[in-house]
Amino acid sequence: MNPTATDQTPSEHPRSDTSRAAPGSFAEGDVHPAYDSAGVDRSLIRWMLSLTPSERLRHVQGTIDLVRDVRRMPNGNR
Amino acid sequence: MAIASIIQTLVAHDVEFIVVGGMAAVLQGAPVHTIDLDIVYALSESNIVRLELALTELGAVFRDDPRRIAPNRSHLQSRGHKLLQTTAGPLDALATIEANTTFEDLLPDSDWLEIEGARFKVLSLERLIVVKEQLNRPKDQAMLVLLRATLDELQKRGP
Repeated sequence: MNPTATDQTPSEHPRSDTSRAAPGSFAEGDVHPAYDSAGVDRSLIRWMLSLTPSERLRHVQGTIDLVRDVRRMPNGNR
Repeated sequence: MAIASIIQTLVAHDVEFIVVGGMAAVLQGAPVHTIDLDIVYALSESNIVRLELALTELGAVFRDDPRRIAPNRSHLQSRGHKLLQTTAGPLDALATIEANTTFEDLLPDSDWLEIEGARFKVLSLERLIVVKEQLNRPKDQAMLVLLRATLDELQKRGP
Protein backbone atom coordinates (compact mmCIF):
# COMPACT_ATOMS: atom_id res chain seq x y z
CA MET A 1 0.00 0.00 0.00
CA ASN A 2 1.43 3.35 -0.98
CA PRO A 3 1.57 5.92 1.80
CA THR A 4 -0.79 8.83 1.39
CA ALA A 5 -0.42 12.36 2.64
CA THR A 6 -2.50 11.49 5.65
CA ASP A 7 -0.86 8.29 6.76
CA GLN A 8 2.80 9.25 6.34
CA THR A 9 4.85 9.28 9.48
CA PRO A 10 7.76 11.73 9.84
CA SER A 11 10.13 8.91 8.89
CA GLU A 12 8.37 8.22 5.58
CA HIS A 13 8.21 10.37 2.49
CA PRO A 14 7.05 9.89 -1.08
CA ARG A 15 9.55 8.09 -3.24
CA SER A 16 10.27 8.74 -6.87
CA ASP A 17 11.27 5.21 -7.80
CA THR A 18 9.16 2.10 -7.88
CA SER A 19 11.26 0.05 -5.46
CA ARG A 20 10.03 0.17 -1.91
CA ALA A 21 12.24 0.49 1.11
CA ALA A 22 11.00 -0.27 4.57
CA PRO A 23 9.39 2.67 6.36
CA GLY A 24 12.10 4.86 7.81
CA SER A 25 14.79 3.59 5.44
CA PHE A 26 15.98 5.05 2.15
CA ALA A 27 17.24 3.35 -0.95
CA GLU A 28 20.62 4.16 -2.44
CA GLY A 29 20.41 7.36 -4.45
CA ASP A 30 17.62 8.85 -2.39
CA VAL A 31 18.25 12.12 -0.63
CA HIS A 32 16.84 12.13 2.85
CA PRO A 33 14.90 15.33 3.47
CA ALA A 34 16.90 15.91 6.66
CA TYR A 35 20.06 16.50 4.59
CA ASP A 36 20.77 19.87 3.01
CA SER A 37 22.50 20.50 -0.32
CA ALA A 38 25.92 20.35 1.38
CA GLY A 39 25.12 16.91 2.78
CA VAL A 40 24.69 18.15 6.34
CA ASP A 41 22.16 16.30 8.49
CA ARG A 42 20.04 19.22 9.71
CA SER A 43 18.04 16.94 12.02
CA LEU A 44 21.24 16.24 13.96
CA ILE A 45 21.89 19.97 14.31
CA ARG A 46 18.32 20.58 15.47
CA TRP A 47 18.73 17.81 18.02
CA MET A 48 22.02 19.33 19.27
CA LEU A 49 20.37 22.74 19.53
CA SER A 50 17.58 21.24 21.64
CA LEU A 51 20.16 20.29 24.30
CA THR A 52 21.67 22.53 26.95
CA PRO A 53 25.43 23.22 26.76
CA SER A 54 25.92 20.79 29.68
CA GLU A 55 24.01 18.07 27.83
CA ARG A 56 26.04 18.69 24.66
CA LEU A 57 29.26 18.38 26.65
CA ARG A 58 28.01 15.17 28.29
CA HIS A 59 27.27 13.76 24.85
CA VAL A 60 30.70 14.55 23.43
CA GLN A 61 32.35 13.29 26.63
CA GLY A 62 30.49 10.01 26.20
CA THR A 63 31.92 9.68 22.70
CA ILE A 64 35.43 10.49 23.92
CA ASP A 65 35.14 7.91 26.71
CA LEU A 66 33.90 5.28 24.27
CA VAL A 67 36.82 5.89 21.89
CA ARG A 68 39.26 5.74 24.80
CA ASP A 69 37.77 2.47 26.07
CA VAL A 70 37.89 0.88 22.60
CA ARG A 71 41.53 1.93 22.18
CA ARG A 72 42.38 0.27 25.48
CA MET A 73 40.82 -3.04 24.45
CA PRO A 74 43.13 -5.87 23.39
CA ASN A 75 43.17 -6.02 19.57
CA GLY A 76 41.18 -9.25 19.48
CA ASN A 77 38.23 -7.65 21.26
CA ARG A 78 37.85 -4.67 18.89
CA MET B 1 33.23 14.64 33.49
CA ALA B 2 36.76 15.20 32.18
CA ILE B 3 36.35 18.23 29.91
CA ALA B 4 34.05 19.88 32.41
CA SER B 5 36.60 19.36 35.16
CA ILE B 6 39.30 21.11 33.12
CA ILE B 7 36.96 24.06 32.62
CA GLN B 8 35.94 24.04 36.28
CA THR B 9 39.59 24.06 37.40
CA LEU B 10 40.43 27.00 35.11
CA VAL B 11 37.37 28.90 36.38
CA ALA B 12 38.17 28.06 40.01
CA HIS B 13 41.59 29.67 39.53
CA ASP B 14 40.02 32.76 37.89
CA VAL B 15 41.92 32.13 34.67
CA GLU B 16 40.87 34.48 31.88
CA PHE B 17 40.31 32.27 28.84
CA ILE B 18 38.03 31.72 25.86
CA VAL B 19 37.11 28.25 24.61
CA VAL B 20 37.76 28.09 20.87
CA GLY B 21 37.91 25.34 18.22
CA GLY B 22 35.79 22.21 18.05
CA MET B 23 34.66 22.27 21.68
CA ALA B 24 33.36 25.83 21.28
CA ALA B 25 31.41 24.58 18.27
CA VAL B 26 29.98 21.59 20.18
CA LEU B 27 28.97 23.73 23.16
CA GLN B 28 27.00 25.96 20.81
CA GLY B 29 25.22 23.06 19.13
CA ALA B 30 27.36 22.12 16.12
CA PRO B 31 27.53 18.32 15.65
CA VAL B 32 31.31 18.13 15.24
CA HIS B 33 33.69 15.51 16.59
CA THR B 34 36.49 16.63 18.85
CA ILE B 35 38.40 15.12 21.71
CA ASP B 36 40.37 18.02 23.09
CA LEU B 37 39.74 21.42 24.61
CA ASP B 38 41.31 24.49 22.97
CA ILE B 39 41.55 27.72 24.91
CA VAL B 40 43.04 31.15 24.19
CA TYR B 41 44.26 32.73 27.40
CA ALA B 42 45.10 36.29 28.44
CA LEU B 43 48.82 37.01 28.42
CA SER B 44 48.81 39.35 31.43
CA GLU B 45 51.35 38.50 34.13
CA SER B 46 48.65 37.83 36.74
CA ASN B 47 46.71 35.53 34.41
CA ILE B 48 49.84 33.56 33.56
CA VAL B 49 50.36 32.96 37.28
CA ARG B 50 46.76 31.77 37.72
CA LEU B 51 46.97 29.58 34.61
CA GLU B 52 50.19 27.98 35.82
CA LEU B 53 48.53 27.11 39.14
CA ALA B 54 45.50 25.64 37.39
CA LEU B 55 47.68 23.58 35.06
CA THR B 56 49.71 22.30 38.01
CA GLU B 57 46.48 21.16 39.68
CA LEU B 58 45.49 19.43 36.44
CA GLY B 59 48.88 17.69 36.22
CA ALA B 60 49.52 19.19 32.78
CA VAL B 61 52.58 18.15 30.79
CA PHE B 62 53.52 18.72 27.17
CA ARG B 63 51.96 16.04 24.99
CA ASP B 64 54.22 13.78 22.95
CA ASP B 65 57.28 14.72 24.99
CA PRO B 66 58.64 11.71 26.86
CA ARG B 67 60.36 14.00 29.37
CA ARG B 68 56.89 14.91 30.76
CA ILE B 69 57.75 18.60 31.07
CA ALA B 70 55.23 20.71 32.92
CA PRO B 71 54.52 24.11 31.35
CA ASN B 72 56.13 26.90 33.39
CA ARG B 73 55.60 30.64 33.42
CA SER B 74 58.14 31.18 30.67
CA HIS B 75 56.43 28.64 28.39
CA LEU B 76 53.06 30.26 29.01
CA GLN B 77 54.38 33.74 28.22
CA SER B 78 55.52 32.57 24.78
CA ARG B 79 53.24 32.98 21.79
CA GLY B 80 53.45 29.37 20.64
CA HIS B 81 50.71 26.78 21.10
CA LYS B 82 51.07 24.66 24.21
CA LEU B 83 49.72 21.19 23.42
CA LEU B 84 49.21 19.63 26.83
CA GLN B 85 48.01 16.40 28.38
CA THR B 86 46.26 16.77 31.72
CA THR B 87 44.92 14.14 34.11
CA ALA B 88 41.46 15.07 32.80
CA GLY B 89 42.33 14.93 29.09
CA PRO B 90 44.07 16.88 26.32
CA LEU B 91 44.19 20.67 26.56
CA ASP B 92 45.60 23.01 23.93
CA ALA B 93 46.53 26.28 25.62
CA LEU B 94 46.93 28.92 22.94
CA ALA B 95 48.43 32.36 23.53
CA THR B 96 47.22 33.52 20.12
CA ILE B 97 45.33 32.19 17.11
CA GLU B 98 45.26 33.26 13.46
CA ALA B 99 47.93 35.90 12.76
CA ASN B 100 48.62 36.93 16.35
CA THR B 101 45.00 37.36 17.48
CA THR B 102 44.96 37.58 21.27
CA PHE B 103 42.45 36.92 24.06
CA GLU B 104 41.63 40.63 24.19
CA ASP B 105 41.05 40.72 20.41
CA LEU B 106 38.57 37.82 20.69
CA LEU B 107 36.66 39.08 23.74
CA PRO B 108 34.09 41.14 21.76
CA ASP B 109 33.26 38.01 19.74
CA SER B 110 32.76 35.72 22.71
CA ASP B 111 29.69 34.73 24.69
CA TRP B 112 29.22 33.50 28.26
CA LEU B 113 28.26 29.88 28.88
CA GLU B 114 27.75 27.92 32.05
CA ILE B 115 28.63 24.26 32.54
CA GLU B 116 28.22 22.42 35.84
CA GLY B 117 28.22 25.72 37.73
CA ALA B 118 31.29 27.13 35.97
CA ARG B 119 30.78 30.31 33.92
CA PHE B 120 33.22 30.94 31.09
CA LYS B 121 33.60 32.48 27.65
CA VAL B 122 33.30 30.69 24.30
CA LEU B 123 34.11 32.09 20.88
CA SER B 124 30.91 32.85 18.97
CA LEU B 125 29.89 30.65 16.04
CA GLU B 126 30.16 33.66 13.71
CA ARG B 127 33.78 34.27 14.74
CA LEU B 128 34.61 30.54 14.65
CA ILE B 129 33.47 30.55 11.04
CA VAL B 130 35.80 33.48 10.25
CA VAL B 131 38.69 31.61 11.89
CA LYS B 132 38.00 28.42 9.95
CA GLU B 133 37.59 30.30 6.66
CA GLN B 134 41.22 31.37 6.96
CA LEU B 135 42.46 27.81 7.35
CA ASN B 136 42.76 25.48 4.41
CA ARG B 137 43.22 22.22 6.23
CA PRO B 138 40.66 19.57 5.23
CA LYS B 139 39.45 19.16 8.83
CA ASP B 140 38.74 22.89 9.08
CA GLN B 141 36.89 22.92 5.77
CA ALA B 142 34.78 19.96 6.92
CA MET B 143 33.92 21.72 10.18
CA LEU B 144 33.13 24.94 8.32
CA VAL B 145 30.19 23.29 6.53
CA LEU B 146 28.73 22.18 9.87
CA LEU B 147 29.32 25.56 11.52
CA ARG B 148 27.54 27.41 8.74
CA ALA B 149 24.59 25.01 8.86
CA THR B 150 24.37 25.33 12.66
CA LEU B 151 24.42 29.12 12.46
CA ASP B 152 21.72 28.97 9.79
CA GLU B 153 19.52 26.79 12.04
CA LEU B 154 20.07 29.16 14.96
CA GLN B 155 19.13 32.17 12.86
CA LYS B 156 15.95 30.41 11.71
CA ARG B 157 14.99 29.95 15.36
CA GLY B 158 15.39 33.66 16.06
CA PRO B 159 16.48 35.22 19.36
